[in-house]
Amino acid sequence: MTATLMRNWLPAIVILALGLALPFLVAGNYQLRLATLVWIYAVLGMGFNMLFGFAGQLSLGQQAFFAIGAYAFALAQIHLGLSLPLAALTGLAVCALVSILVGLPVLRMRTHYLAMATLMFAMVVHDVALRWTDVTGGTSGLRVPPPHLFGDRLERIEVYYLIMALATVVFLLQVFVKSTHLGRALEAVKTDESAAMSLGVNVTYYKLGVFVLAASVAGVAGMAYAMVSRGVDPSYSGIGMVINLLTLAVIGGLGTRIGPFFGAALVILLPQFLAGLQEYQTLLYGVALLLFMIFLPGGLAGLIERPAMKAPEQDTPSERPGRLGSEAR
Amino acid sequence: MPLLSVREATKRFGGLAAVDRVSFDVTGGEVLGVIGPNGAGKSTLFNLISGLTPLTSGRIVFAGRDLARLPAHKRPQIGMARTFQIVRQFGHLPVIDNVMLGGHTRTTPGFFRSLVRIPTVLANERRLRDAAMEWLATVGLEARAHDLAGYLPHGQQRLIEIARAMMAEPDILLLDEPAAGLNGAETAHLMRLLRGLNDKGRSLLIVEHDMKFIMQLCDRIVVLDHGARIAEGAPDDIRRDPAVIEAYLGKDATSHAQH
Repeated sequence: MTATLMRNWLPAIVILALGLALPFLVAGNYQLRLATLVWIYAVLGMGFNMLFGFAGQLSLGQQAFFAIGAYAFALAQIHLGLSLPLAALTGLAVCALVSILVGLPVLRMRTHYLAMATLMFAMVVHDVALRWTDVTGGTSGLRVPPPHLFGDRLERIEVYYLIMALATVVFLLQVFVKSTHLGRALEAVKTDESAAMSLGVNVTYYKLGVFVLAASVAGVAGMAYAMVSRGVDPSYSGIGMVINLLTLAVIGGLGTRIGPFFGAALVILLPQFLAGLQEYQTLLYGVALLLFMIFLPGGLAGLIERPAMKAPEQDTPSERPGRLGSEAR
Repeated sequence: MPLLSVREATKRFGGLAAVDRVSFDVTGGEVLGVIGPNGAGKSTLFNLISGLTPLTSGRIVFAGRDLARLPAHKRPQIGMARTFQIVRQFGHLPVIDNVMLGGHTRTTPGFFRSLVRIPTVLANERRLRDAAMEWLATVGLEARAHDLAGYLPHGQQRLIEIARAMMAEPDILLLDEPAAGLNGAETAHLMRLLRGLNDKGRSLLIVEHDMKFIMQLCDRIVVLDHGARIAEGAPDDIRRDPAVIEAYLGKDATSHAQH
């Protein structure tokens, strides 16, 4: 039991300890900013991980909720004069509401149809962000006021710890979902919807639930990004964001607990070392995606989080019903 | 009053009646078998009863309640659980989690409520885990609890599926070809297990190809052919019924049998 606990929690504890110590290890503001971005991307990745990794619902519209959260957060502060916590709650509520309205029709679709519908939705959001200049500020976007909490202006390092705390909460949420009836039901929805129904899982409701949850988490990431960048612009909902997200999710390890942290660190830090290869970044991401999908489908986290039992060589897991079944009869 | 009452149940796919005005009852504590040649409509009948396929016409009443408007996922709550002809396992989950999934509706709050009622959920988890261990012990697989379900042999996966269905504590268990693909020893083990469940008062409704299995296990048998009920009775009567022999072996066999 202790061994299992250690295996489940040790990587996360190491990551958190590293996160706590990081501000004392890095040299300057720029590096602290990069570290903050890693946590933000990890949050975005965890939302997608729950939606696609746990529940098998491929949405390519997470960047839309990332943007919607950020814009709502900015507008609530600029026009309503709301404080940081209230603006954050507003952003969260807007994301949840929009995701219910979008989710109800699109979740009737599966696999690539769902992916296309959500991508279309994100393109619409992107266009609105670009063209509804009066509200969104068009290409130049909106400025977000410096973060204040309880009357005090937050230092960079405080912002870092605030965002790291958010990432920790989202991580615990993700672990809770994965290790309870919620995770089992989502796994059932992912594998076999009619079997899930027969076991009493309300498939429609669970799909909507995880869609709204993932959208809200993406919104949280968007708000954090806006807070750190002191602004929001249409690139938040751009295609670059979804490419980053997919790369992060696959390289980190879909469906794992800590994959999003590895993926986020890689997506943020790798370009720093490849500064001379800026134009080739998308190409490199594409190649990395392909290589990982072929040779390391469990991602980096898959190397640490092993399944409960080692697979015998000759047997393959019956992912689809009937692999070991008897339909020949 | 019968526990389950199927009245004129009909399912049409286009012009074809896969199930054609089929009626029968299952009384409490009874073991009823449904047999018939390939394509007789047995699996469709099962999907109608478990709610995966809507009826074209007719009625299905369970414990005095018309099931027409009750979605499939609510049927385990009112005491009806099923297994599938082709084992449906969630291979990436450990065996114990597969079994716990069967208790999904009994105890757990919904998706969003679960996120704010963490202590309730964690207490439920412990209860479900204990119940799942008991069912695994009943089917003889407690030693495999923490292995991934997908790696177990077919016969054991079948047992997991039954343990999982029993987690809903159903009054009636619908079994779609439970003996399919099992060897002799596994079939005997399954028979003992099902008898044991029946002895504790559960009704069983079994669709099966294995004639010996069903003749030994069932109190009563309904025979389907081309979607329609052609016979109903005790196993011994069914064995001698000319219409049944004809459906299974063709017309010539009937005349041979009568001579």
